[in-house]
Amino acid sequence: MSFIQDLADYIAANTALVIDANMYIGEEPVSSPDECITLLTSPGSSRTESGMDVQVLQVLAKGKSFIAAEDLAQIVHDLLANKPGFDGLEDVLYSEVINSPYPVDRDGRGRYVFSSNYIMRKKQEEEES
Amino acid sequence: MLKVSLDTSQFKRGVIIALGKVERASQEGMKNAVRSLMDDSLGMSPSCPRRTGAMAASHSVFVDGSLVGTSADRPVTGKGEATPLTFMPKLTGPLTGTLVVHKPYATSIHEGVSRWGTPYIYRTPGTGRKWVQSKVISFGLKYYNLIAAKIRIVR
Repeated sequence: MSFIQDLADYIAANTALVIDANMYIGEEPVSSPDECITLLTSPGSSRTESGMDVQVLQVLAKGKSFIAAEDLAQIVHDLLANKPGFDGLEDVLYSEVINSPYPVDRDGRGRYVFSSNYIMRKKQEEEES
Repeated sequence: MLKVSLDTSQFKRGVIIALGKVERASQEGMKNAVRSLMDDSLGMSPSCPRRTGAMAASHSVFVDGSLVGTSADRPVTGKGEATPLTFMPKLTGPLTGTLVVHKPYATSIHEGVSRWGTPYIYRTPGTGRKWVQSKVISFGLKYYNLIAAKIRIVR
């Protein structure tokens, strides 16, 4: 399974967010609710010689009001920020915050958009020989 | 009674000179690092999105608040206009390199968000969101080494 799917499962297990209901991977559907988050992988991910993968992750949180969007972004941020180890995500060694949630803009539906970015350092998956 | 006095003035003078040389070398190294970051952001995929080229031509780099380079020489077509920032307030703290993209929509596009449609649609192949962040993550060590290279040759 892909890393971002595992991460979505982890967020779903630890918050009230539900995959494909108010949490999306990669792309947000047109019919999304006013308050939702989208998980995206970002360029910059790499494999290192030390056996550690670098996964760059972006979380977009949206809400009809500024506070609703910020609260939603903060829920995910508290779950992901600067943590050594994740229960249920055994491969992830630790996470680093590139930036905490901040308001970027409003989208076509007038919703406030908060963006936060993380680096997840994880063990490399063993390749099948 | 034995009285020993030690003249450390030469040593102190040497330390002060060395510190000054290291500080200048650090700034020179940081100049190379931020210029390299700007070049990588504009030239390596995902590079800066462009329609008229105005945003690509509006990057500026500063070291400790002093302008050390812009991308104003990049081609701009149509109604686009290069508007690189040429002045910024001096930042506090030692040795700060800053890359500024001086367009009001730059942050949104960098984050892949647009009020005209989400996600933002990048029309030019090889361009995309996170054109700066991805370089800092991928080539961070190269930028550190550019700074260190200047400090290493201080005599």
